[in-house]
Amino acid sequence: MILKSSGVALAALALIVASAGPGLADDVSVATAQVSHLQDVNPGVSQSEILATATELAKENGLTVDETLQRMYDESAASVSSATTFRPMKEGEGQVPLGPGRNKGDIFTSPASTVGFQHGHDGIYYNQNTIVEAPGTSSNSRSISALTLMVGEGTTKESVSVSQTQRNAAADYAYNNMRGKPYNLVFFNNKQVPASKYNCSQLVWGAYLMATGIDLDSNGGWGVYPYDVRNSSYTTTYASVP
Amino acid sequence: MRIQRVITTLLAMTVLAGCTSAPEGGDPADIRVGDWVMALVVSPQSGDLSNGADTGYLLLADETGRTTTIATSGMDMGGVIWRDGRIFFNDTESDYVLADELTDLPRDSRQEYQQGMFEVAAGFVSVYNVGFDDTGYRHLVVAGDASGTEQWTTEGMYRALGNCGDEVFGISEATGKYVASENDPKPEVLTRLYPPVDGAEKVVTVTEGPIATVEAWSLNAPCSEGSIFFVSQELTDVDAAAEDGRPILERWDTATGEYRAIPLTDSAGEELSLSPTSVLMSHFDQSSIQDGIFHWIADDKVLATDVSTGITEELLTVDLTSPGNGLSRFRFADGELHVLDIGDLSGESASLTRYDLATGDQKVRIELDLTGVMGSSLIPRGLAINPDWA
Repeated sequence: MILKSSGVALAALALIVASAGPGLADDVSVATAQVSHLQDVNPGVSQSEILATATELAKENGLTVDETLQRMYDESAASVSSATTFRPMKEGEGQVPLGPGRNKGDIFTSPASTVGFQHGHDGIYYNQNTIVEAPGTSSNSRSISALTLMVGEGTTKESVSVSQTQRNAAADYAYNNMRGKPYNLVFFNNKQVPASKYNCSQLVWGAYLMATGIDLDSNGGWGVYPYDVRNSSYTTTYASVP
Repeated sequence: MRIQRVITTLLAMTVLAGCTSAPEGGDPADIRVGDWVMALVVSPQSGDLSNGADTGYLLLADETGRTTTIATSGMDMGGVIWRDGRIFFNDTESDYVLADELTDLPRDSRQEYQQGMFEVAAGFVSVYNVGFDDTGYRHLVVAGDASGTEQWTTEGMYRALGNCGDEVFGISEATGKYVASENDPKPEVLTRLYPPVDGAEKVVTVTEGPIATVEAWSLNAPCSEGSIFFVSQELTDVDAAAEDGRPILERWDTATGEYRAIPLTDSAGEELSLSPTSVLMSHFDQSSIQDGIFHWIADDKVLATDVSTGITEELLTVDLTSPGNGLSRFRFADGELHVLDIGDLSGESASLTRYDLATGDQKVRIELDLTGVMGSSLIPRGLAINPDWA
């Protein structure tokens, strides 16, 4: 569901966000609702960072800050909406083995949620039976078995419509450039590559952009979210787990 | 290479205050190893451990289905070894030996993903997946027993691990110093991780070119007559899809480094009719080979492959609540197979069954209640059976 800029709609969103959990700003301006949503979907990012990013993007694009926040919100909400095909997992269900991919460079998209928002998670197959995870600042990135990795039901596997040589290059780029990089908490403005930090969809998007020149962000904008990659016209879903 | 001495004993049980679903546990000092028949590692996955998850368990079960737990900080893919009245296990901070008392063997670094764990004459060898660094790929090897451990790092991204006698070997695509050219397809490297040479791995062989295979989970591969064996799909080339190709046994001679691909066929010589996914999701362990026969499980079928010919026959069908759910665990022993059937992550539907491989008979079946230990964020991993359980 995408809310257009209207006082009634945003007031309603403010009520919804307030009931969803922490992060509601003290400032009662109209922009608070969008900032609160972005905080909830990007946990660990402060309101000041969101507003600073919006201010910078507004300047770069000749927009007002409110217009910029609305665009950032719209992109995020569209990603959450795209992810609602996954039902939230309850204890004792919803974990299945990811299993092998078809080729190196294939992508998987699995359910992941934060504060009730389903936003998904992306990964690249380093080879047919391993994926590489980027744990964050405290650990090196590492290759782990896809055969024993448990993911949410409805996880999908995608191939990218390029040559295998290009897929190999994308996978190699991803993992050569993940070494020691901290995790990027920001999805709403993450389309930078090379970068000093990466999150999952940024890494997948960036690897394919650098290796092949194609842009896997299906809806453009300043942020690339996991379902933006899955919904790209360059990707083809070939399997759903289970 | 670091030598770590034992610095604590008698680890106290941690009660999860305020958590109504906390499993029943007790003081490890009160646990008599001989009273139990099964040990199971339950842990958050490594991604969750990296993001703050900090509780896993070693669960013990007896013949009546009664269980107890020891809380740990978790270890994804954590193994467990049971030998000589002692249980060896680990978590993110330490390796442990449970005997008359619990011995805590702290490591000098936090680890979240165990690649393999092996029984050797001196005790145990654990291999931890450290990950990429600036020059290649690292694993941490920890070896020792209750009196202390030694630790060192090795170069390699192991796709298979196994021990032959008192040596632990790894097979890896070339990484780091073993890569001659970044632009060329990488060869395979067979190295001995334990015992080390000058605090590092010893190279047995580097192949002339890449090996175009994709293997089932092979990090506890069996050894027979000095060769390590594991199940793979042999591809037409390194870039081919996993769906293409044929099922094989990979055989690696740990003395000469010779590699052989042994095609898997039925008794008529026809390629084994298993889907690539069934091949890659199959199960086997270090005790799979008995008298030249490689025992493994694909879907719910126990198969027996002659390692010299690749001829494979079906032995029996195991009783699984949900085949392929990724939760059930298996351990081969002399002429027997233990199956820990776990229906789902609630832990409500679980049982341990011992099968006679020759007859297919269920010799023992224990119903288990694993609620309180399992959940969508706690995954069953290593399984060990008391070798003295008659």
